[in-house]
Amino acid sequence: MTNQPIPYANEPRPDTGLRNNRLGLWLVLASEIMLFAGLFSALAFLRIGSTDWPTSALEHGLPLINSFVVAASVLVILFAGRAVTRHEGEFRLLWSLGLGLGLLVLFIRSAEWSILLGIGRLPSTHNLFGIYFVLTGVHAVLLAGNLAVNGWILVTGASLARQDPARHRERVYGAIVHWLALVVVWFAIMIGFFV
Amino acid sequence: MPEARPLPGSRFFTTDHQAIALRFGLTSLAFLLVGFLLMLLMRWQLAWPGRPIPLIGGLFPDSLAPGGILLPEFYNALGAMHGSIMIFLGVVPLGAGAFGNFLVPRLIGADTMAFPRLTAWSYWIFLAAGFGFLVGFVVPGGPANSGWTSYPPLATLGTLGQDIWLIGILLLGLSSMLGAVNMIVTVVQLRRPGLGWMDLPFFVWAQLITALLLLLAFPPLQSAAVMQLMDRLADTSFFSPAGLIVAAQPLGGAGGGSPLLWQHLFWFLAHPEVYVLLLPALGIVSEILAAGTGRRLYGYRSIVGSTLFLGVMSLVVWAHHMFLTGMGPVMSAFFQATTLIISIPSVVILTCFFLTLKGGRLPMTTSMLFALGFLPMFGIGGLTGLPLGLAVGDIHLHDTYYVIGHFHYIVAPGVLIALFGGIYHWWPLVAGRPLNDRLGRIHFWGTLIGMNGIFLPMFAMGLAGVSRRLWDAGAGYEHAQSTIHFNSFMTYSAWLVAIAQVPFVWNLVMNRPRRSTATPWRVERTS
Repeated sequence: MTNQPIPYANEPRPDTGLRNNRLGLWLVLASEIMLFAGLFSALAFLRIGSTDWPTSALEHGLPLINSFVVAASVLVILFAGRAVTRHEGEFRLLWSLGLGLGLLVLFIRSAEWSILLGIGRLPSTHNLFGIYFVLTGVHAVLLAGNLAVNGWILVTGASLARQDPARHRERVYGAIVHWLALVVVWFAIMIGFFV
Repeated sequence: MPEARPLPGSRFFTTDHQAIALRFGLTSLAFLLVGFLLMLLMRWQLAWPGRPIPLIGGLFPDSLAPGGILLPEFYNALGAMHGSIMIFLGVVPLGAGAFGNFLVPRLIGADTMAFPRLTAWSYWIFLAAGFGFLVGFVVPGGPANSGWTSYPPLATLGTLGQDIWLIGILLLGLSSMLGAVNMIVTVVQLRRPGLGWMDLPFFVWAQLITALLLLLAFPPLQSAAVMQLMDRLADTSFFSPAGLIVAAQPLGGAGGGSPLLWQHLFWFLAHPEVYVLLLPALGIVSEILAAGTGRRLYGYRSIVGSTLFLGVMSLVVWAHHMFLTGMGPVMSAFFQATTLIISIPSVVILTCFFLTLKGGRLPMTTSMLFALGFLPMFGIGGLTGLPLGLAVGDIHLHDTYYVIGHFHYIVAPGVLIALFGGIYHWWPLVAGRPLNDRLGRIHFWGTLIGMNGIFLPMFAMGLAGVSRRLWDAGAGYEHAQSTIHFNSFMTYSAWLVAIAQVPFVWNLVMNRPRRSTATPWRVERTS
């Protein structure tokens, strides 16, 4: 292997108009979409096959609050994305706020789970609860992964922004796009269970 | 200026795509050997049911093989692990991980893969999954024993080994996703400037479409694996209907699920997986034929178009594995139609390969022998699939030895033969010297004849209605008596295949890369 930098990592290739990192990111997202497609298919399959689907037995309040927090995080993180090219301090502030909102989403999710489990709505008691725990659990795992990356960007971003601003911007772009994809999945979960 | 000394462990954790490809190759060959040895144990049992396994029978604990005689549960476990290991740990990583990572950058004029660290991660995660599968053999209850398809409710009731199998599947999905992303980005982005899509070697197209299939088809199986883990560990009932009684006890959980949900999610991966196995082999054969005849592939554009069509169609044929589940005539008709349609591009590709040979002066090298051997074997495998693609034929043949014969003709004398041919063809790039031709011919003929000896009788057994899952080869069934004698012949054939691998291993060892000589790809790179 040569020590030459890999071409088109952060700048687009002229004939395809694509950057390696962005193409890779979109492919990962395609894979995650298929993962959730499998789970949503299972939700549809189980729901169609069930004569009793007690969605009213799910906790409604906390998921609704979580939806507002998620929506707020989208605004904050998009503003952070705009700030990355203008002002590093502003970016770090907004990025930290987005990270905090993400952690709040996970905290509310765990509180909601505690309530459900506390009142006996276990995954084993009905497939509705089972698939709800699986979907929100897988979503939470991916969210936690995204938050870990966001935290890493926050810690290492300042020095990278000085040394290689294009690479820094690409990382931020990737984290934001993945975050937005998870937001879309969250609202799909809300629609799938509560609408 | 003196060269910097590499950090300790840096060679071990290399991100060099060719070094990692070699690791993929050696590891997957080792797993192929493991899977093959499991098959030999099964074949002993099928040929001589109830007779102790010679030499090594005493090594097994009484819980698996008391007195060296396989218990039915252990026979089931061997079947499940043979299929899982051969497919997920042997053929796929050899075709995509080894050949893909080694050759694609070279063939497109790139220095490396687009994401070298992902290349390394995909290998290490694959290795972890492989060890996980093997750990199943030493946990209480033994490895997964519900078939490589892991159908519930049997799988839901399986041993601890089933949990390990499911975790292994999750890891393999992750490894495949990383490798696939890397491969697609490499082909799309790192092609030498000016190298157009229709200038790409067909091998690269085959790897690209394989990567796309892995990327899109594996995640639904991962979601199913998560749900089956939940069924087993958290007592959910995604795949269990209400009212199941096992050993006079009602099955736990609320019920209300369906085993068919697993089958849909499983086969959504597992049918495209056939093409994940096959496409790299087609790519290898195309390269050997083109190199041997000294010509471009006949109908190159047709082959590429057919392969793209094959890739797309492979995502909409999965339920032809489920005709017996009572899907209804409309669904059955749809999947029959898609299954028959998907056979067309396969025929186009095979025809183009044959036409490439027309009028050519073929050098009968070992790799060419393997490539030529692949063509009729793949043809037999494909043609015998047609009756299974029709619901009427499938009702009789489903779950019989006919099915085993059909898909083994695709995977064993088909894909594996092609992969062996690839090893002979490109070994000079690895070691700087070719493999010995005489040993290669012994390997080829022994393998080809032996494999046909194993799999050809399976069609007769299947047509007689013999089930594929019988521990005693059907000794207790009247309809199996007319074909049961084939089993000893098939086992001797399996031994022939085993013996034929000895010159292959010897060939690899004797012609391994030497420490004293520079690694050929480095010589090429610096020249």
